[in-house]
Amino acid sequence: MHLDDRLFNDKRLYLPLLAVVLILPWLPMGSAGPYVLRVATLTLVYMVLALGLNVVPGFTGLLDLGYVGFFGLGAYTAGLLTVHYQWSIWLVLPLAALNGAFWGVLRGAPTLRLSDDYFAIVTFGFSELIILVIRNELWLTRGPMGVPGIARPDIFGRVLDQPWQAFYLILFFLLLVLWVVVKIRSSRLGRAWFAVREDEIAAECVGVNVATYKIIAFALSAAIGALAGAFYARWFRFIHPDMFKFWESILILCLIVFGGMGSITGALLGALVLIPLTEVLRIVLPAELSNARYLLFGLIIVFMMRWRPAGLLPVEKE
Amino acid sequence: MAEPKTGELLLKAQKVVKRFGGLTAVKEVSLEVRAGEIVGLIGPNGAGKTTFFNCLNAVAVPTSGEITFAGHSLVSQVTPATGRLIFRFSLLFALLSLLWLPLALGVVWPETFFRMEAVLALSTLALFRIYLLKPLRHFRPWSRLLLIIFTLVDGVCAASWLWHSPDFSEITFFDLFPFYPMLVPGALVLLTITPVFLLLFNLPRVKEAFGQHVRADVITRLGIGRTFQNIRLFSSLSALDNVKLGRHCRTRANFFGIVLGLPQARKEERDSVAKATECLKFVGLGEQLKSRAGSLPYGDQRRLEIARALATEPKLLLLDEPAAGMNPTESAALITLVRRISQAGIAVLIIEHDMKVIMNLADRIYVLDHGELIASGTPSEVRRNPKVIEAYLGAQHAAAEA
Amino acid sequence: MLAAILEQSSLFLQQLVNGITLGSIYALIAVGYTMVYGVIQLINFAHGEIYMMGAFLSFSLLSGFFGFGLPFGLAVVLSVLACALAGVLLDIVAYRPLRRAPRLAALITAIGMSIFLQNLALLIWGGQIQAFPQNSIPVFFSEPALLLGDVVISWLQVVILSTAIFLMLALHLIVHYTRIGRAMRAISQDKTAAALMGVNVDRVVSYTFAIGSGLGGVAGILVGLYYNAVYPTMGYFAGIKAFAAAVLGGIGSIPGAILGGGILGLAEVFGGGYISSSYSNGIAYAVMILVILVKPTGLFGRHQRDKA
Repeated sequence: MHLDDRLFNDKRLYLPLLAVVLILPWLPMGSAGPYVLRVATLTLVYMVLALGLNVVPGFTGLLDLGYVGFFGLGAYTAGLLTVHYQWSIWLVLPLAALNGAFWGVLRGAPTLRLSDDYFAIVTFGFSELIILVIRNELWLTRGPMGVPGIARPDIFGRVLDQPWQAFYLILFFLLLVLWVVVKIRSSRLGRAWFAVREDEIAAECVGVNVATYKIIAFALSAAIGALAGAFYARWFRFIHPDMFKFWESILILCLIVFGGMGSITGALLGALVLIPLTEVLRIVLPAELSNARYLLFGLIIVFMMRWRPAGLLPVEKE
Repeated sequence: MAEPKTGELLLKAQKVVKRFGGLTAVKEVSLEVRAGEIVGLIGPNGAGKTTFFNCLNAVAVPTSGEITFAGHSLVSQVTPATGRLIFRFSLLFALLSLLWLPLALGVVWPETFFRMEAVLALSTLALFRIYLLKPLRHFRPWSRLLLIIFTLVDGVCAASWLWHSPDFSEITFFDLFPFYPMLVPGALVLLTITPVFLLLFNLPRVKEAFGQHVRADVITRLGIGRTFQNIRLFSSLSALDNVKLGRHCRTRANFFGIVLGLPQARKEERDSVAKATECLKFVGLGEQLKSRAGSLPYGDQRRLEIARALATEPKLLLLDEPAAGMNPTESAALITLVRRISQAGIAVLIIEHDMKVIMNLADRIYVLDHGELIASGTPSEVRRNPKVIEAYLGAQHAAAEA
Repeated sequence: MLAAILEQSSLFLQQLVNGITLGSIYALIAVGYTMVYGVIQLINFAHGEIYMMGAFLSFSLLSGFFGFGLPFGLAVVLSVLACALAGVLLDIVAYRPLRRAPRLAALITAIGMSIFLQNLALLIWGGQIQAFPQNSIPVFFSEPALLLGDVVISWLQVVILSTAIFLMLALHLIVHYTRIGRAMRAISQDKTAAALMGVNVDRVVSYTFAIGSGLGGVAGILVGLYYNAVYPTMGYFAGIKAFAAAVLGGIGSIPGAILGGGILGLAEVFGGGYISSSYSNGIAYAVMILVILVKPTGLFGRHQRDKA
């Protein structure tokens, strides 16, 4: 039985884990406290991203190399809406997610019959085009000047300016996304996705409208990415095209490859291990070598593919 | 779903042809299956039997011919000539975008005229239209929705152009393309073409025309279930999950129902489990619910595929060499199983090489050789038919029998 | 009026010359992609990094980065050989073990190697844009070879174009008239059958990588000289454009890659000149997506990867 099935169905397992996460901001960590909290919040953001990316390669078996495009799209949608209209985060976030879903469908619709390689290339090109447009359309996005001064998240009219509040906010969104993904996984929809991943023709002969289900996967995946981006914009309060490079897509891919593509707990684990690792490396390595972190990631990918391509928590039983 | 009455015509294939480039795999094969029957399809290897099945099931698109199932046509009536006409008209429609957008953008945003944005937006629009040309062979209702959407966009662009009455000397790329103003009167013509096209797309005849190829999952929902010659199970899923997938076309829970945990969705899931278990027990795999499908022994895998097909509640079951690789005990069990399926009211069309199985089961048999139907009739008739003997054993034996 | 036409046309012609030059460079890189895809159906994401290595190695050997300087010709030859070797090593270390693995795993590995190499270069040479020291390059490169009115064709451009043509011809000869070339073509059509006919698939694949990477290395050196700029991320951008060129021409087809490279080079120069220079990368992406969606097999395509 996969950890996914055990963990999410057994209250005795996931409730204690949840409790540990909930008390994290209050643990005594001295002066390192705020920094640790920031890293933890960032880790949670990447967990959401990992879950989102996991939908397409994990459930439908297609490789998505352009996830950062949706992250950036969500961030800019939220950032620009906030800066121009000062709307509440609770209005901006769903709008950003919807926008993401829209573009996800737009990107996916023409690619339904493409093989893996070509699909991956189209996702890559599409994401790069989005970022290029963001970078160059100064009248819309202020281009390389970035969008500063995005308002903090708010709830019922009160501004949430404490770091621990941001932490709980992203935790809430993570749990929301987790809920959706877990529920779908063991449902008719999730099964249909797995069927599409295994054998498209057989899936169609069993009554699965492959096209529709792929589109749903694209929409969901993109919406989650945009959601994470929107939160990120309101939390970090400044967005800039350089924050959304192709490298980020690979990093998120790395997270789910490490944990096991298609495995929900794998995605969470991947983010949990690798994101703090980047931060640890950043501190540990001397300044000149700080780019060695990325080197390490390249190596991790290569090693994982060589020796354990299914990830730490593989979905398939060996 | 009303059970078809015994004897009622279920499947009617007429002069089905399937060509692959230079090779004609299926040459004008006509076939009938009535409710309550078990019909066999036999022939030497490479006779085109599986290809024919693929045509029935929409895994392959027949080159020509008609297939009707329970009153529904599985193949469109569009002649190749009409298809070409539709294609050309659509091509024209696609090219319209190349004329429209720069004009409209030049009016709304003169300073962005002929910059990269215009080119990008233009390519996107052209891309949509070109994309729509591709699935014209397939039954995609929502591609028509897209067509309607950007036809509306066309209308808006055209309207804005008429409203703003631009001074053409302001259009910067006028210098590079001096012939552009000559198209201006033509724009009014274009404005009238698009609504006509929109109307055309909604006429029932044209709708039928676009239904040139009915999708496999639609056919499954209509009531044709199928197994494959080389087993196509979802090997990493459990046996139960495989069969639950068979229930997919008979259930309706959607994204929101699942995520919100609505009672209807939950009930459906429970029913799916119950029905799937029932199907598994029916084929004799009641003990293997949780086993990984790929790890099951070969004979069990074949039965699992049948269970999955049964879960789709078919009126007609297409079995492609279900007894392949089975020993005599297993094939006897298979014969019993197919009889029970037939008794449950499901018509069966079965491809088989194992003569014992076919002769025991089939009410009628069709014989295919090199893609052509060479004989049909009851098992005893077919067994004595010289053409059949010739096809299997060679001309000398046919002469010997005569 | 005539003067205006002449002025416009000389701009046009200059763009044409620049476009052809850039196109030949893209063609050289694109061929590397297409050859590797032809034999093992893998998009070698790290190919751009080999190209970058060619530029950096020649720079290092010429500028004394490693502690010693070499004459121009020797530096170039050594760099190209090193690139060829690097390509072979890349295959042996990263791709060969995954020959039987699912395609996705190999693709991801290629991305991983690309990241690794890029950051390795960053670590070794730093992120600054480096330039070739003036005294290490033959002086005549920057001098004009041909003057047609206002249109200048420098010697370097002539060298680039002639090198590209020469190498393409050599490649054509190799692919069509040698045993190795025949083996390459056989493998790209049916690997199993070729193996059964006695072709040592692994060795031929290594040769393919060697040739493709060598060409990429040459391209890297030429670009480094042309723009007089060498930096670790140059492989990324050039790689994408060359890959778009390979896709345009039909991935798996060498003449296609050459034609695609030419078209893309011209498109980039003309697009940048007449439409917008900031979107010059965008042209490559757009071309890539358009080609894949409309005709995935490209102009000369052979490998039908489209699902039924």
